[in-house]
Amino acid sequence: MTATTDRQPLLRADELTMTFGGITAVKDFSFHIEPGEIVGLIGPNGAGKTTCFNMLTGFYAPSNGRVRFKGQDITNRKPHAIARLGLVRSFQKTNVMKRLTVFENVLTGHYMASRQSLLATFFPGEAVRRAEREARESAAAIVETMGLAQRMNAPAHLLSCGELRLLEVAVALAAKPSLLMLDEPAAGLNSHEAGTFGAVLKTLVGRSIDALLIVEHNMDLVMSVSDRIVVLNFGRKLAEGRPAEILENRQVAEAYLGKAAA
Amino acid sequence: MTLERNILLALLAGAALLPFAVSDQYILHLAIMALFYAVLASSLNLVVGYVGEFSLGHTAFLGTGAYTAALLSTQAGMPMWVTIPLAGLVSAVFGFAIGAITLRLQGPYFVIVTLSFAEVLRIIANNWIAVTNGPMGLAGVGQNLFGDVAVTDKAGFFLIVLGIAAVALYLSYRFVYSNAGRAAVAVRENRYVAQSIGVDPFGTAMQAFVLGAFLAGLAGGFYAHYISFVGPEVFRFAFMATMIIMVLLGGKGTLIGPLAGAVIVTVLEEYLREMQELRLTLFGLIVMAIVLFLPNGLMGFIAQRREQQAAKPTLNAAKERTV
Repeated sequence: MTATTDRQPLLRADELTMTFGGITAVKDFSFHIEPGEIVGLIGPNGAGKTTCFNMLTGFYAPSNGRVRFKGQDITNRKPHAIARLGLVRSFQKTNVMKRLTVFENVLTGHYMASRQSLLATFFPGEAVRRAEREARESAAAIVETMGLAQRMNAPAHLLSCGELRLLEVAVALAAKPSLLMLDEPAAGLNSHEAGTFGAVLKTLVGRSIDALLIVEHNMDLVMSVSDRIVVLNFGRKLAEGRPAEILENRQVAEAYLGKAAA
Repeated sequence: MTLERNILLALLAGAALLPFAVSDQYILHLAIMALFYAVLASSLNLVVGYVGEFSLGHTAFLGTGAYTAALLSTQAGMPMWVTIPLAGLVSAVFGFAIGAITLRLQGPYFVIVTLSFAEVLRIIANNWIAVTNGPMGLAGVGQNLFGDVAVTDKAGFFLIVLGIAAVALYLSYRFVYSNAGRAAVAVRENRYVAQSIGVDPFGTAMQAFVLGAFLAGLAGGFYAHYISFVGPEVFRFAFMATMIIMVLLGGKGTLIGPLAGAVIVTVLEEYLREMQELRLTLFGLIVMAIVLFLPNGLMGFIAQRREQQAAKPTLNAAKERTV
C-alpha cells in the first residue's frame, strides 16, 4: 500500500458527518479506496454503514465533509450524476426490477453506454443499432459471468434469494462502474452460496471494475475477499487494517460481542 | 417485441382497407372515433404506463391541441396539414411547462396537480372570450387538408386519423423499445435502481410526458377539424374518464392494450346507447368487473396466460430431473 500513497486514491471521503435531527448517524468518518483494492466496510447493526453508502453515492447529502471520486469533488451531486462518473452501488434490501426478466434487468443496466439523443430514439441509425447489439451481447455475457445463464429469461420475481443477489450485482456491473459498492450482497445466502459469490467477486476487480467496496455481515466472506477492512461503530471509525489485523483487534471483538466480564 | 410490431403493422394495413370495403357512414364514424381514442389512449399510456404516475390532467393536452388547431383554422385559415402538427407542438410545449412542475411530485400529489392544470385551462377557455369565444366555443373550423382541397367525406377523415394513429404508434414503439424507454421502465419499476445505473428520473419522465402531450395534441387538432367545433368541454373530465377506462381495460404499459381498449370502449358505448338511462350504470359495472378480474387489463391477462403456458414445460422438466 505504501507505493500508492503518492498517487491519488480512487475514492476519498473526508470527515463525513450525517445527522438526522438530533441523532448523529456518522461522525467525522474518513477513508479512501485505491484502484485495484477490495475494501470491506463492517460494523455492528446501526453502525452507520448504509448511511455512509448513501452519502458516498449522493442519496443523502452529508451534513459535513467531502467526497472525492477520481479527483473530482462529488459531494452533494445527484445520484445519477455520480453513477455516470463510474460509481455504482447496490442496495441492502434487494433492489431489482421485479417484473422484468433477468436479461431485461441487465440490459436496462446498460443505460449509460447506450444513451442517445431524442432524435436518434425516434429515427435510429446504424450507430444506435450497433450500440443496441453491443448492449445485448454484453448483457448476455454478464448474465453468464454471474452464473445466471439458465435463468436468462425468467422474470426476476421468480428468482431465489441467492439468484436475486447475483442479479443485483449483474445490473450494477452492466453500468460498467469503475468503483462498485455492494451493500450486504450476501445477506440471505447460505455458506456454500456465499463462498461461490465471494469467488465471483474476486475475479471482478481488475477485469470488470477498478475497485470494490463491500458492506457485509458474513465475516467469512468479508475476510476472504477484502484486501483491507474498515470498521465502523456508533458512526465512528473504530479500526482499519488487513483482515488478519482486524480479527485480532480487541476493540473490534468488543464492539461485536461486548466486553468480557472482569 | 417483433410480435407486437407485426401485429401493429397488420392492424394498420387492415385498417387502411376499411374505407374501401365499408361505405356505411355510421360505421366509418365509429371507426374514426375509435382511432381518435386510440391515439389519446396511447398518449395517456405513455404517462401512466411509462412515467408510472397517474395523470388526471391529460385533457389539458387534448384541449390545447384542439384550441390551437381551431384558432389557426378560423383566424388564419390554415389547412389541416399545418394545424394538426402545430397543435401537437403547442401541446408538447404545454407538456414541458406542466411537466416541469408536476413531475417533481409523486403519487396522489401528481394526480391532484395534473387535474388542477386541466381545470385551470378549462376555466381560461370558458372566460377568455376575446380569444376562445368562451362557452360558445369556436365553430366552423375548416376542413381543408391542403390549400383548398377539402375533406368532404368520412373516408377521408378516416385515412387522416389513421395516419395520425400510425405516427403515434411509430413514435411510441420507438420510444418504448429504446434505451430511453427502458430507462423510463426502470424509473417506474424501481426509482433507486434507476438512479444507481445513471438514469435521471426527472429527465426520463419528462421525455415520456412531453411525447404523450404531443400525441394528445395531434388527436385534439384532428378532433377540432373533424367535429368542426371546439368548446371548453374538451377539457372536461368525461374525456379523461374515457381515456383512463381504455388504458386500464386494454392494459397499461403495453402498446396494443390502449388500442384494444379504445376499440372496445367505443363500440361498447354505442351498443349501450340503446339502453338510455341504464347506459352509464351498465358501463360502470363492466368497468368494475374488468378492474376486479383483469387488474392488468386484457393484454396483461393474455401475457399472464402465455407465461403460465411457457412455465409448464419447465416445471415438468424439473420434476423429471428430480425423479
